[in-house]
Amino acid sequence: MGRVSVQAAAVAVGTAAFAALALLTESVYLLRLYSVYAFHTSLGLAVTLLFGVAGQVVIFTGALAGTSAYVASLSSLHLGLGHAVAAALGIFSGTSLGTALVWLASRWELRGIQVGILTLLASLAFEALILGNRAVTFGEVGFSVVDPLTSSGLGTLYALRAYAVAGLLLTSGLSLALLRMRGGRLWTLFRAAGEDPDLLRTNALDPVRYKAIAAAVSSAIASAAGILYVYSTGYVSPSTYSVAEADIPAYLVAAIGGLGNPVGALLGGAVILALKELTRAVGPASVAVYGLALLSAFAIRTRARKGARAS
Amino acid sequence: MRSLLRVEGLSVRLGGSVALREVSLQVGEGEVMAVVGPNGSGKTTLLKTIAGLLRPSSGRIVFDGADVTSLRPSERSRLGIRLVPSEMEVFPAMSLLENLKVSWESGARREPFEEALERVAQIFPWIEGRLRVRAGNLSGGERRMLAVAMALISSPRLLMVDEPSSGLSPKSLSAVLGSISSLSNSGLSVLLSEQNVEAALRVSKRVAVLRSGTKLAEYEVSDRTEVTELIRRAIWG
Amino acid sequence: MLDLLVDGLSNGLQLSLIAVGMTVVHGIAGVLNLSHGEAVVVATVTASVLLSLGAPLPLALLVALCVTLPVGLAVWAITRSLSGFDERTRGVLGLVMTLGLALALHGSLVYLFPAANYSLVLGTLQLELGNFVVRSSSLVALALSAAALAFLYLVLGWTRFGRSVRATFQNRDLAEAMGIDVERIALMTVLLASFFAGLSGLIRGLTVPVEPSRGMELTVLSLVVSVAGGMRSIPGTAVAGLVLGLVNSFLAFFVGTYLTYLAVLLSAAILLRLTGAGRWAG
Repeated sequence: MGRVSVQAAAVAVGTAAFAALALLTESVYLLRLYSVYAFHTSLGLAVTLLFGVAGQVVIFTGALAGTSAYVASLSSLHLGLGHAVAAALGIFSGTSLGTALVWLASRWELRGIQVGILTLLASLAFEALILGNRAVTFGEVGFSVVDPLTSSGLGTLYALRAYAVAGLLLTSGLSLALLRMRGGRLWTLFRAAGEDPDLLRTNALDPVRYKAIAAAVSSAIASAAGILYVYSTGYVSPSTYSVAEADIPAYLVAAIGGLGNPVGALLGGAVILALKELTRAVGPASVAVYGLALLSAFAIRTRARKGARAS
Repeated sequence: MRSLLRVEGLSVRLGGSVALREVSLQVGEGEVMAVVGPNGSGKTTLLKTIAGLLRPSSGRIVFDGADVTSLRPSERSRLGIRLVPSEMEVFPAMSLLENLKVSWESGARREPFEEALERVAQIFPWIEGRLRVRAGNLSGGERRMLAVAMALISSPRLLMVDEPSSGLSPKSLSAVLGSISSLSNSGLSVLLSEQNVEAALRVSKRVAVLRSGTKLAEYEVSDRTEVTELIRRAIWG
Repeated sequence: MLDLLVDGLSNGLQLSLIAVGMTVVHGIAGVLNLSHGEAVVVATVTASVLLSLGAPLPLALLVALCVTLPVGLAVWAITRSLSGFDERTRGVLGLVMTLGLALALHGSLVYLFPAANYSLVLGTLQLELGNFVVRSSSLVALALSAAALAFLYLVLGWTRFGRSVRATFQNRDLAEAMGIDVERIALMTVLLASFFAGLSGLIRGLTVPVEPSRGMELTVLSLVVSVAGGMRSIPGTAVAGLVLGLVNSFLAFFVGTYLTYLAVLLSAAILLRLTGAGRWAG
């Protein structure tokens, strides 16, 4: 128990420090980094829960964040809904979609990477729908969105600061909440649903139900992340939520943090952010460098893990 | 009798716990030996370690005078050690013929395939009529017998069978045990692991008793009833 | 209509050629190779560059095929480094590392050879069969793809090496306990998978240009086909490739690219449902 409180304390201290930084800085660039961090880390937390714990290979956190973002933006823009309602609608859509897909995968008795493929198909369909079917997006693919804070009169800098802190609170809060759940009843049930469903069944518990609950929580996290990102950047575009831009980094965040470790994901998010910014500095060959960095980082990590296991 | 296999002080860890603790035994040439014990006593672990599928944390395995402890399973197989596992014992998507062929191809190849096939078909005559059948479509007993046939077609020197009785009808079990008996008469050494003590004693000359990874005792099977009682007492106290 | 059929079959066979490699490597080495599509592009870019430098066609194609081998070796090195881990860790790390490799290759190729579109023009002969017109290049592509797949089928089904591969694919532990050198088989399998992926790309250039950036798209497509076909079935993967290739060709003609894409995705989902509780085949 001591270790958990050390981690929780570290998270609290870190959050406070970065929040202070956000409130003091004048740099728009730096504040935008907070948004990117919050986005990727939240998705990473969603993956940590659904994949790291419940063992469901899912490749759709980006699409869920995107669904949520688009539903909120479009309903606010074309249906005139207030921001709060639009956001709620967005989160509801994303959560329902994610839960439905995982439930469907369970019903079809798909295993392992097959679940991943089903969700991947859904993500690709989402991208195709947005990019190809302007009827759905009323003719726009990427467009500007007016966020609630700016539209209520707050200056840009202050709005950005608020969103930066909100992002920090979201990720740290979620991380701590998940940390607290660890080892608890629901956590164990999630684990069992993924690893040993028969054990649940022999205890008259339904693994599909718990997978669905894990999916619902995870999808809600992803959806919320999508909404926050839209409001803090003021723009919604499909590429942000694509598999390459959102899902892959989400897995990297989760993997770097050590799958199933909510606090580790916070660190993973920082690493991914650093990686993205560093490779962007390199220029046109950035993708190649990103790849090499990834490969080497994990090659080293693998060797370290192997070394630890041998002893 | 010359000892073909010698296991000395073998210890194996599985997933953080001790599966085998300092187990030693010997199997002579042409001898049938059984390792009996309840579920989880380490029988399968022992056989798998001798076959090379698991690595021991300490101890030695000596086969035909040579230390094979660090050899890979394929190398041990080439020396004549063959394991028939208790599950996943065949290649499900291949025909019986292909299963046997693969097994023969990677064995010692002391004779042409056709002769080896005939030799094995004499022990399991039903195989000849079903060579084209997909192995995955066989019944549990037939699969087990195919697995034994696959081991035999490669002319092994030490045949290890993990739980031959599990999943077999009494008739199939008799066939399998009968074949084991006759094979040992022609010089093949057999080491089998069994929960079913009665089945084990039917064919074995010696029997070792395992419980919780430790070898409790070893007996010569002279009087089956007597030995059964000794075993029962050793395990259950 | 006939040309659609020919193109669809050709597409499908090429896709199968690529996807089978992915399935077999996953079954034997336990790693889903996300850089598989890059092996295709490495070959096509090499061929394209050599051809533009004036190299004779046979040499260019040969070198292009050879270049897929170091890519395969890199993938093999990754799978080797992961051999001590449990299945799930190996799966995740394998995905991440092969992704790193894929991005490294993709980034380098697109950066260094952005215009190396590979296309093989063998004349514009057209054949008339009844009411239908078919390009000769399409027929050649179909014939070559079919020949490659047939060759693969023969090797897997009728040679000792092929039997060892299938045995290792179906039951690795048993194969090893039996004396099959599974490490060597794994290496050969990875190399062959890359080789056939490259071959597929070179054949594809007969009908349609292959851009250097297509790698990731091919990887995703191959992954979808592989899983839709049931990851434990080699013939299943081949059939899935054919089906999806046909669906793609026919629909693209009638319905347009995006809806076709959605239809392909839907077909893959349906195939996935059908092969969900997959049984072993290979």
